[in-house]
Amino acid sequence: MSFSPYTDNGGTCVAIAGPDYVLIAGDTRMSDGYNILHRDIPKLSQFNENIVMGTAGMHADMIGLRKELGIRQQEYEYQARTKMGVAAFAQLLATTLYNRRFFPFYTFNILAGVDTKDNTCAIYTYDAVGCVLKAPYAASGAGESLVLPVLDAELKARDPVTAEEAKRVLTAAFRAADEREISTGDTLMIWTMRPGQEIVKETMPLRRD
Amino acid sequence: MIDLSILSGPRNVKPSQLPGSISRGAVFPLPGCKPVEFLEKQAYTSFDGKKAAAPLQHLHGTTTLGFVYQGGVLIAVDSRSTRGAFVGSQEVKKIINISPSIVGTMAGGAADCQFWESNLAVQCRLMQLREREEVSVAAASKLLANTLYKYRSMGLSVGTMIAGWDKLGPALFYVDNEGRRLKGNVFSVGSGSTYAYGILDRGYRYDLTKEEAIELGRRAIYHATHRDAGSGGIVNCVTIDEAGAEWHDPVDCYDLHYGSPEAPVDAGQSVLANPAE
Amino acid sequence: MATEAMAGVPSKFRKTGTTIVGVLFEGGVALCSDTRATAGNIVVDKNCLKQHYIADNVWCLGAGTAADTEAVTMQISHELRLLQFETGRVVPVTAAITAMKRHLWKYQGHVSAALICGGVDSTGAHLSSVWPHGSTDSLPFLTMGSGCLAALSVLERGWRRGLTKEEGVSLGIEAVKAGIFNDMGSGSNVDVVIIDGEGTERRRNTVKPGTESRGADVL
Repeated sequence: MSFSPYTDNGGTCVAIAGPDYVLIAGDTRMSDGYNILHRDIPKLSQFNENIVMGTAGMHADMIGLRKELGIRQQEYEYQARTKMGVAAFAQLLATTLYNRRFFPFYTFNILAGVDTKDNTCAIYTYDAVGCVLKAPYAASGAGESLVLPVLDAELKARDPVTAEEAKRVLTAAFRAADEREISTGDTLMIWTMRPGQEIVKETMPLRRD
Repeated sequence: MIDLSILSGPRNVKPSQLPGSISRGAVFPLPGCKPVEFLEKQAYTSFDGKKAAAPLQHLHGTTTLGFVYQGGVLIAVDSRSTRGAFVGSQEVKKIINISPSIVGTMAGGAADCQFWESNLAVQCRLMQLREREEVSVAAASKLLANTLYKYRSMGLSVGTMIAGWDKLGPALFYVDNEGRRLKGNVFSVGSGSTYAYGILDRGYRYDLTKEEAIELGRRAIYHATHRDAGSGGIVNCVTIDEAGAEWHDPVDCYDLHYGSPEAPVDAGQSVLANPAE
Repeated sequence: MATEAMAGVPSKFRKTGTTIVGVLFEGGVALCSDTRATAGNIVVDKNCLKQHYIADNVWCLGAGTAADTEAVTMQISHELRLLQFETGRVVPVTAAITAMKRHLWKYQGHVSAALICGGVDSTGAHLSSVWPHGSTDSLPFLTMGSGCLAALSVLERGWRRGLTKEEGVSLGIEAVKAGIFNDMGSGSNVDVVIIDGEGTERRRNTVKPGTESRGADVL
């Protein structure tokens, strides 16, 4: 056995945006192989009241990434004397990930935020080395391939749905994931962001087996 | 002052860390071994220890094409992003703006293309400010080729076309991660390129009108998406001429195949009816 | 190098997560199992059956590759039926265990079946585990599968001589529940088969700990 700098701690993140809201959710299980290491580790990181990142993959790299982003965000906010917007943060995340192109962060991120300039809601989705896509909804992590088809079926080629409807779709998608994907489970954290409002933070129980 | 140094390239530069003859330019944090081998060993191993397609990166099973015609230059691309057999997205923007009259295409590693072509846009803007002149397509493509050459054998995956209009007229270049840079009138890049070439070579004439060029480009991409599982989604198309870049309505491959009011089934048929004579 | 070699060659058998438990109580034996079947990190069956029939008085729980456990137990079941016809009496549990260990030893571990075999015959209640290479352990409580550590801690804490039938069954269930919650390869419900002097009783899906968060009316 040779040393590996990576482990996969599993888990799934999902985000759905509408015209005046954006939901971002993640389960709270952290696992290693068949072992559950913790049942209450959040996958969501809040950078300010308009920016939340969801991270699946390796937990240690998530901590490192979050720390680096926090430092650069603070640098930006001191120098520019203004709060960082989602678009700027989305680009920052892409460059931060690409900086580690040859020793990547083993993290699969989605970014949800409110653009304070025009009060629109945005989601960005990333691969581990910083390819960005702007999307109306996104999923990442171990349950991605189970969750995305649910979102495609319920949200694609449809008029924007209400926040309540989006939350229903999101919980349905997570139920699909925790039924069939073993590293997703325990608790679901759902954060709802709206322009000019505080983030509403809710939880829902998931399977614990 | 906002610190923009991050835009000029990756940080933490230590030339001594780079392999072989590379002695200058930006460098990334590296693991204590050869990066390509390292990634193959570590990152390509999946959950149950089996060898799997690299889960770290979106790879483009892609079809992109570009050609020069009498009125300017046309670029058409599909929009699918894949990771192994999994379709990561059907709505990727594979045409990247480099300058008001130059665009680049993406094929290969999505992040590699996105990062280095954004980096190229920065280089071009700085060059334009320095030289007080619009950057030529030749110069832009050379800048990218030089950048990629510095990272040769580091495992980057980039296959791009740099297309645009400058003071000499329309121009089209192919640039890849080996440092290759080719000038030409017709190029197609990606896993579906052979299919696209088939349509393109049959329908291509230098004196195509703009409308005919768009039809040909769309049709070539559509046929490639039909036969190549790695390509699909929608066809994005841009023409660049004296007036600048013009983006044309994206068309869904599904509609091109099954027909819809907006996209009649015989799109491009008129171009193919009379092959080059 | 080691990783590269490992990565290049596909693993010989698929590791299927399981928690199976056997408990001896006064006059009988309880065999308990979870009901999750997995392929990699995906659950392919949420309510599968891991109990295998050997004879009316002998049952078996299987961990490892599903195809192997099913094939082995079916073959041994047929062998024992023939033995029963030959001898004209209830087959002894040890005959089943011997047949299993001979079969598995012959294949030198290539048949990846890890079994817990329990039953009652004229000499009393018996419980044994059979490992893929053919070795056996005969102990008053046993567990195998990826959830065995979680289950074993419950058994070590709870087992004592002279358990009643219901005490033995509920200890077995608690042990499997520990596997279900703490091992990601195990999940969903608990199945029990109880063999004592009276006969054999099967309790399918006796508890459903996996779906506590969902309400009772789901698999």
